[in-house]
Amino acid sequence: MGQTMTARILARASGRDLVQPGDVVIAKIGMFTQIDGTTFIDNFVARKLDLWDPARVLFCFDHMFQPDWIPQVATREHPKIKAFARAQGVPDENIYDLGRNGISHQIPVEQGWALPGMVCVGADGQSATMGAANCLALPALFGVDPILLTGDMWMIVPEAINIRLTGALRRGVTGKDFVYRLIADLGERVNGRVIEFSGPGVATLSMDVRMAIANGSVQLNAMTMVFPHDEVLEAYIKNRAREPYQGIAPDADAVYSETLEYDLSTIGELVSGPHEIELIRPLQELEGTEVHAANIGSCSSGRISDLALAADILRGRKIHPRVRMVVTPISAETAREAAAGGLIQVFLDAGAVVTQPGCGACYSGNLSPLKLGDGERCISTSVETLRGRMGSKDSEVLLGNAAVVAASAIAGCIADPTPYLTGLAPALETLP
Amino acid sequence: MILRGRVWKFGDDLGATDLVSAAYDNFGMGRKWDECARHLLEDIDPDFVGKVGQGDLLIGGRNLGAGHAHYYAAAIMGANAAGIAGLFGDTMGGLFRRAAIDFGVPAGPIGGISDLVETGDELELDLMGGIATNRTSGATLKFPKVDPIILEILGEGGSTNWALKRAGHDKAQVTAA
Repeated sequence: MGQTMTARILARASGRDLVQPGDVVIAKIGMFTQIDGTTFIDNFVARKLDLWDPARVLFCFDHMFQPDWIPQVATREHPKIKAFARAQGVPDENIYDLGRNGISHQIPVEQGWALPGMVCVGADGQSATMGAANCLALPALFGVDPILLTGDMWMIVPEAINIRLTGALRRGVTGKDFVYRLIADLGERVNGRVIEFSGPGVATLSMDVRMAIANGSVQLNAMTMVFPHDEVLEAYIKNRAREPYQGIAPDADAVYSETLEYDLSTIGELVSGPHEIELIRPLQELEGTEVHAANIGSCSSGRISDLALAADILRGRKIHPRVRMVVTPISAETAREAAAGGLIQVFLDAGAVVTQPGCGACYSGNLSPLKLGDGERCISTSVETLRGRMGSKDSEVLLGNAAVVAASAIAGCIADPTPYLTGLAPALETLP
Repeated sequence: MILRGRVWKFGDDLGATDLVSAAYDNFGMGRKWDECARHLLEDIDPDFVGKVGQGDLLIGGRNLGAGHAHYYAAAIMGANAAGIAGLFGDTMGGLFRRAAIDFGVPAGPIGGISDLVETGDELELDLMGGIATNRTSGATLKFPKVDPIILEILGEGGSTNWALKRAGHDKAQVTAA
């Protein structure tokens, strides 16, 4: 019985030739990435425990929790992490503080820590993002302490779904839209299985888009997603990888519990929310709905391709005077790239605020100027639409892609970005 | 490991937020399991908390524990604090099962379990032997034996103690949990 990519990675990580769904293995992990809201440090200090390998643990300052009532408020948490890391011998460069920082599952891919064929684990629930790099990327959930202690994790080898991709996403449609399509189509049927991608459509997807797709794993109730090791990935990581790696492909006769096919060219813009991620509607159904705030950022967006797409819409135009817009690059590297490409200037000229990199306005406890008040509605590229997530419990968060957010910020209501992308929209001087 | 307890049976798709509503997220985030326990299953059976007893077993149909992983801790530990000694369904997602075992709470899929028992029956689960026995009706059901690694984790009361033991830490440190 042939093995999936998931099984092959777990077989390699557990020193076995062959594993099958249902087998229990103890898999060696390649790296662990931690947000700046830790739960294990007190336990490790109190019990005098040591990290299994300090050189393979990253601390990414991304949430920057602000309210003093949050136990991990940044003013206490950041010094605590640095003191712990120094005592444990974690290299200074593994601490991604302001200026080098970014979201905890973006940094490992971008900085060459998460590599093909590895088991990569993160404390953040969205850690599956790293699966874009042909690794088995898992959220640690409630098992952070044991994994950091031993450098391995127990795993029941999961079944996998093969999603075969054809076609290409049309301009203005992003990985977020594909995630929403999967949530709408598959619902809770995924039930903790892994999703692996195959087919000619994969080659049309940039690493940015792959990360945005894999990022949706938790919302889709998938254990994680794994993209193949191909030329797009190879071109991305060849100058980033910190150590040699060996990519993983499925066996030709790999056994999947289900195989689905998606033509990427059939994916359209979708909007999720408010309050429930499963409430997914075509953009057209919501056009004209007033918005008061617009947010581009978070782990499901905020990458350079998202920023470039939004900038193409905002270039030479102004944000509606009743809308405040905040842009948060996903990482310091993305911010530098956006500045070098003139994108930051476009946002500032349009009337947006650009903040330091990180999770941004996605959660109202984070350092971001964007908090929603009673009765306000935000169109956001962020990852969750839960009631009160961005501020008041009497506010609404609608989720869409960066093009939809940019077009809506100009219009003051949910708007279709297509006219802006095809040159049919009015130029700056004809707008109010 | 053998579990023996009174059954509370529910249908298909009993999700994590059916066990403990998302409205009590602050109790889950604060790891206040007794508070989570006070609201166990309240949207489905408001009297449930008054009826459930120590060592009872929660049995679901398909997809027991479905939904967003963020709510798994509250659901599992809320149920456990209310007395539930194990959660088993005809099927169960891998992340929910993983979360339960990390916490030291027996859980997993047992195909056909929902046909074997009714609420109020006494169920015996021999996890090592892979045999479920309805001690009220006498009916039995075989299921795949639970892997020794999982039994070891459960025996240590969860994966933190299990890892401490594997890393060679002494008993005092382990039991300090």
